[in-house]
Amino acid sequence: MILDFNVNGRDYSIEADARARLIDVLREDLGLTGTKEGCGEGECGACTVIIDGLAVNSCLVMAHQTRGKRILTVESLKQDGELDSLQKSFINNGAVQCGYCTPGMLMSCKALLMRNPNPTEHEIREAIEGNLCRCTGYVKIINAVKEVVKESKAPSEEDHHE
Amino acid sequence: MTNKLKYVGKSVPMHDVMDKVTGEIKYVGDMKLPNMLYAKLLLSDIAHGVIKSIDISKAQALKGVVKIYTYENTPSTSYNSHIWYDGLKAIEDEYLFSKQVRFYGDRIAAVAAEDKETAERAISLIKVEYEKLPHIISPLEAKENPEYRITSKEIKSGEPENIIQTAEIVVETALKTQKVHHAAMETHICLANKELDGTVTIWTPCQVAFQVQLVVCTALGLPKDKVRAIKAAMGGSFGGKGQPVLEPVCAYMAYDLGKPVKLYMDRTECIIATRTRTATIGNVSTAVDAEGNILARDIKMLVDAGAYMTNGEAVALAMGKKAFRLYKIQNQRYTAEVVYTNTPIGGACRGYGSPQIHALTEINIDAAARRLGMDPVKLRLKNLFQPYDKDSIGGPALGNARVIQCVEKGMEVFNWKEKRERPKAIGRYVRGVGMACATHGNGYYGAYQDYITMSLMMNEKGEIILNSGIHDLGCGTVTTMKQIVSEVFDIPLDKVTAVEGDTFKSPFDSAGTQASRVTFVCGACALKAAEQTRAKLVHYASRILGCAEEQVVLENGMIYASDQPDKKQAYGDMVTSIQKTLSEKVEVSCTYESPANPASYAVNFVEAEVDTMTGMVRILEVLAVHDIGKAINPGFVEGQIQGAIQMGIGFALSEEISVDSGGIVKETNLGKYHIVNAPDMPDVKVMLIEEGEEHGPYGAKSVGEVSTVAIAPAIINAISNAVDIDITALPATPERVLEAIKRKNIISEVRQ
Amino acid sequence: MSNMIMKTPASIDELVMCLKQSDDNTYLLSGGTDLIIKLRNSKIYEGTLIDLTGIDDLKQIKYNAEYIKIGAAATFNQITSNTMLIKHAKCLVQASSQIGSTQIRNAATLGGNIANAFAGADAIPALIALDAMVTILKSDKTTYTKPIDEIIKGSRKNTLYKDEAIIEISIPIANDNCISAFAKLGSRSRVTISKLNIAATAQVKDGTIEAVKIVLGALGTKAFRALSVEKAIENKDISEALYTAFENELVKQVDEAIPNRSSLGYKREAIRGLAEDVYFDLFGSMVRKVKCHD
Repeated sequence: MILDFNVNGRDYSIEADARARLIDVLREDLGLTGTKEGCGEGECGACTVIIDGLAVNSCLVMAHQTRGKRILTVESLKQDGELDSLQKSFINNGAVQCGYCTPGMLMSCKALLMRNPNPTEHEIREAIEGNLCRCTGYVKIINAVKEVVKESKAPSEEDHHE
Repeated sequence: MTNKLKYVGKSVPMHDVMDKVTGEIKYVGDMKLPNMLYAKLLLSDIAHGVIKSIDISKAQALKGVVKIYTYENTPSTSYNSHIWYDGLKAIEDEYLFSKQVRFYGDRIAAVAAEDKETAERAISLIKVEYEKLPHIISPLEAKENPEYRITSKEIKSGEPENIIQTAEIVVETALKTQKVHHAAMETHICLANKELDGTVTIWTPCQVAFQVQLVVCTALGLPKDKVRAIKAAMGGSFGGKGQPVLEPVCAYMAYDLGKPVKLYMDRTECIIATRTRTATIGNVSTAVDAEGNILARDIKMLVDAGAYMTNGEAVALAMGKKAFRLYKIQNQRYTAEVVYTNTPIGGACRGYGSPQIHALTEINIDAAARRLGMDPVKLRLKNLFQPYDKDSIGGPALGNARVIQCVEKGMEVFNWKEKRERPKAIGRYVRGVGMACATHGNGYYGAYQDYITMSLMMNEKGEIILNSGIHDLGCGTVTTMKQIVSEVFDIPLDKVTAVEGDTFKSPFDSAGTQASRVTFVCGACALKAAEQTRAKLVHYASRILGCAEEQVVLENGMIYASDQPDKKQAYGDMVTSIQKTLSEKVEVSCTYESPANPASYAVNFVEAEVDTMTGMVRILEVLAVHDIGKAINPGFVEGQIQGAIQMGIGFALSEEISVDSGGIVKETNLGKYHIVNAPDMPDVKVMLIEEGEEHGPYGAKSVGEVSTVAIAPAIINAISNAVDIDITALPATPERVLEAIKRKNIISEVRQ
Repeated sequence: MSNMIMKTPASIDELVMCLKQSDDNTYLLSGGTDLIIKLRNSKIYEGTLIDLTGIDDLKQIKYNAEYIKIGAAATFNQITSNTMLIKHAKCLVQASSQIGSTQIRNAATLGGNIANAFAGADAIPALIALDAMVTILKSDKTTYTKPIDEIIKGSRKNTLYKDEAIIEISIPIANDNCISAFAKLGSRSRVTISKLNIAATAQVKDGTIEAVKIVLGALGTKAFRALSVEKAIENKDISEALYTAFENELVKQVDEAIPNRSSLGYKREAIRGLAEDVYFDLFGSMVRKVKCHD
């Protein structure tokens, strides 16, 4: 069964099993192994990708359900050799330890910022409520997102407040 | 260390962080070799029994199935996956595959197939007939059964029994601690291949590559020069990947088939069939005087090793020793009984017994303070060890033990007195504050061999390669080593490469990444290797430069004679000259044996809020104060602590692997096994006391394990402070909290 | 390769064609958040999947003067951000916002939640309290509509035949006096399966509670209306005393619902917390909150 979809800006037309999940196709067929599987049941969020602008567990979506859709994986964040501001902030804030939750965590945060460039801490926590991390206690991850938000605010806007 | 440090003490990013944020790093799950097979395990679905028959015919007939393994066609050599060096003795009761089933999750069979789906499908087609045997899930019941009793241990100083018998105030506490899943986000996985020369190469996210090699050799009956273990990228361990679980099975399949085989587990398998935090049932009696001096203490621990021995005995001893390294208690006894049960296997888990025993004893200290009507901080301050006090059973010197300083500083920053004395809210939500202290070690000195060999080489470009069997578990070990080396040579971190464990290429390391030894012991070796290499460079350079060694200056990657500051040359050019003119290499191989095992300390302060209607507990604030000696990388240290607090909150409130009356595991996925997620995670403030430790590199000592020890008792003490209840079993689930509140209300009604 | 087939209808007509060929090994796939786990855990390698998420009509939330009509494949994320639902079906929005995680709410659908008929489902008590009607498409292209309560038979059981599909959930638009609330209790504050949940709707006129519906979930095999609780507060004036009656009646209801469960001891106590949450969410502005526990 042929699956036509767009992953990270590139159109694909591939043969995929009807029982294959999106994560299987991304990892096995497209070789995009940045997306991780940590539980296979939507509890850990390591497999999070963005489908048409929304964060979704790629372990709980059938590959063929994404026909015609635009998918973004962690591999899409770096553009023309330049890291995404979230990636930079994760590095600068020490938000990465073992790195296994990182791709999913980044994609959840990215989806949040795409829809809401100015989230509160509460909204950040809720955006990653479905992303488990055993290394960091989330503290530095939340700080990293807060920093991106702070830096993305127009300087003039900041000035007005101060 | 009077010199200003340039690289040590700085929060530089982890060496592989770029690969991690881009998703480019290859964990074993991401690795593919040509003609690689996929393998899955069949685990038992009963708790105790004997296999009567295994029918593999249907599975075998499935297209793509290559071979099926059971106890019938594999070696039956017994081994113990906990044994990490030759000569270490422990009961060997594990096999590649079981005929005797000892728990729900025991390994029955494995299928190697051409693809994942076929392997998974084939597993479901294997039919096993068991003869069920009676199972024991309760350690208390196991204690009465000679077949389940393993050993008992005693550590003692003075005459605690007599004092406790005659003391006026004796405070008793009982606490049951549960089995916990490590919950590394990467589930267990292993890849093995048979090379043309017959060598089996194993890629595994492991903590001790030499242990993988040893255990595989034992189980497969292969010589060490035919088994090569390579530490792969690690997606989290916390002790869970300490003992080789999949490696012997995976290596056997690759060896037998002559093909690469990847054996992987899903989350459910990982929860039930790898390792767990060892469950305990503890009782402690503490005699105190009216002023709050601890007169004597008697601790009894029943240690549930689970279905196989692994480290059951070692962990029982390890936790006992900790009881003698926090408070000055001259008269103290620790006794432990270790038993088997037909439940998931115990093993190494961050803290290695410390969280269990500290939960018991630190809740008990608060109970004693309550009895005396004393501030629990005051009681602790009266009894805590001072710097350079002696371990009361003659264990390794405590060193620069700064726990009192941690308590005092923490009290201030946390605003302890004000929060503690604040009147309790009247209403549904009641807040309380609690604290606890903890200690942990720095390696194996005093218990097991503890040394490591490293080789360090500077090349013609002035770059350094540090070759050793280290394992970065995601905590920043590699970067930490690089910072130490950079400091010695005054060169940027990107000029230093530190490679990780490979049993064919790494110099020998006696113990791997466990026992909180890496920074303290391996870091000290890196420092020694760097200093020796530096001395060598200086020695040769003095000959090239024609000056005295004392005149050779190394500065920011440049080397020169102090009286010729205008004739600076890059390190690399000097190395080239040395090689050319002296036919010498700037290279050192050195072995470092740890001379000490000082105590690290952590003190946690917690504010918690109890919903008295539902029993839900919310952690509002955590302050973690650490006697760290010196933080090589403060950012990493904070990260360790914040993550450890997350793990500790779970231990205190929500995480538990339990079995039903049939021995079947109840929490088989992360929907039922609750680890703390972002909305429930409090902000964790970290405070470091950096007073230096004599033998640690730049004064550093451990943090990885001690950071998860004090949090659970601090939380339980905060709950008690809020609603005046006794928690007698972890985790303090809403059910248990509400029941305790109800019990208290009934008692107070009866009294009225 | 599995022996599975996936059909991807793009319209109701195409869906009808798929339903005509349904058999015992046919699975309707919507958000997938339950079904995909089931396919894997139950080792299902054969059969037909009919993907409902490609039918645009099923993803819309529309309304007319009488009903808000939620397409079966509308996600919980769509529900929580729909202004009509926020205004007229607050309890459903509250329930939807507490289902799973952000990622789950972006995929999971209301129709799927109903068909899955999980006893601890959060949306179902809210739908019962709101008198939701479920429209089902048959393979002969006709449809029929039933109250939500009649669709769900028990734990993981619904009344649908193999050749039927839920296509729409209709929520009557009540008058402006109608208020509603939802509360749940799990093991964590978020991303947690309900140990208890409660949905309530009521109309309040001059301080008197009218037409109240109280629905309890995660007690037994399916969510149910707590009639005795409703009776205890219906046509009564909002007061603190009434709150006590409400709470006590809920405890009794728990006792009756799960008399032999080991979880009874906890749930009969903890329901008081949910009682408070829901009562004061509904009537909070009308009653002074002074309840104490000491």
